[in-house]
Amino acid sequence: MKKIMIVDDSGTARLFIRRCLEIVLTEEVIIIEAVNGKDALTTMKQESPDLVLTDLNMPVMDGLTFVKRVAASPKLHGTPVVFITSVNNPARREELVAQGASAVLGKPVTPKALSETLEEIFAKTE
Amino acid sequence: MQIEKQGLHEAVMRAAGETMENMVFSEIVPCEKEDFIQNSQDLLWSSIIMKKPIAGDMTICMPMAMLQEIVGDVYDAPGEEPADQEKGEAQSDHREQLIKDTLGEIVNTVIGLMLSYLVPEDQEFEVGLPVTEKGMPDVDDADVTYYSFNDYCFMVAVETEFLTD
Repeated sequence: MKKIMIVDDSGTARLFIRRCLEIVLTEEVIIIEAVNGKDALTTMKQESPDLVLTDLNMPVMDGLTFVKRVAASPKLHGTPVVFITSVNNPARREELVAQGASAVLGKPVTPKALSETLEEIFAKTE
Repeated sequence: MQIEKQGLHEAVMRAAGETMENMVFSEIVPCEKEDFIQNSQDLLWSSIIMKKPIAGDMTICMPMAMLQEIVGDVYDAPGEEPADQEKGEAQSDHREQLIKDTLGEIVNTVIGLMLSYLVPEDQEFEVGLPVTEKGMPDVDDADVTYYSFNDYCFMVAVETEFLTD
């Protein structure tokens, strides 16, 4: 069963993303959550998610630092990381992809946008 | 980078409208300051600073009753009474935290959308983390617009020295 991790310091944001996932997913998945980049790194080592959906602006460790650490980690690199962030324009998207993001979606995320992105990513990884 | 007031108003309206439609499936329409003032008991505000390419901040202020309704819809919060006082206080604290978190996420989303409409595509923009407090915010130096949502009115204030008429 696939595992998807949602990383965001806002409980409201995590709930919205979880609801979008429930709408778009056709198979059962395990959803796990983390509240910032540091928490996410710890959880990833324990849970080995198949995909991470993360915010950019977070306290303790932001999303940019998080994705750089994932890319640099022998154990974690290769895990797709998708940003779901309000700080979203072409220049920022380019920077995040250059640092290792698989995709960047804007907030408020829609089920359609999430569905298209997940389809593309899981097609590449399967 | 300079921002024209008309352009800012359009970007705020579009950003706030898109956020509320996607988050709580309701539209917003502009309203008057008097409509907001008439119902300005028990307010909560959340503010985020803009760091680059323009410095400033955005504050959104909503009546608690409006946020209670939004949180009720979002979280499907149970309506039954708590079994004892301690549990009731814990639930009340938890609900207050949910409300603050929801408003913080609303202002975070609105400011991001607004800046994506205003900032040239080849420039990055950067914002801070939301700060949320009770009461009426100090927005004397800000450009303020008002919107109605269901039976409520809320305020969006943007303060930046890069605003032109």
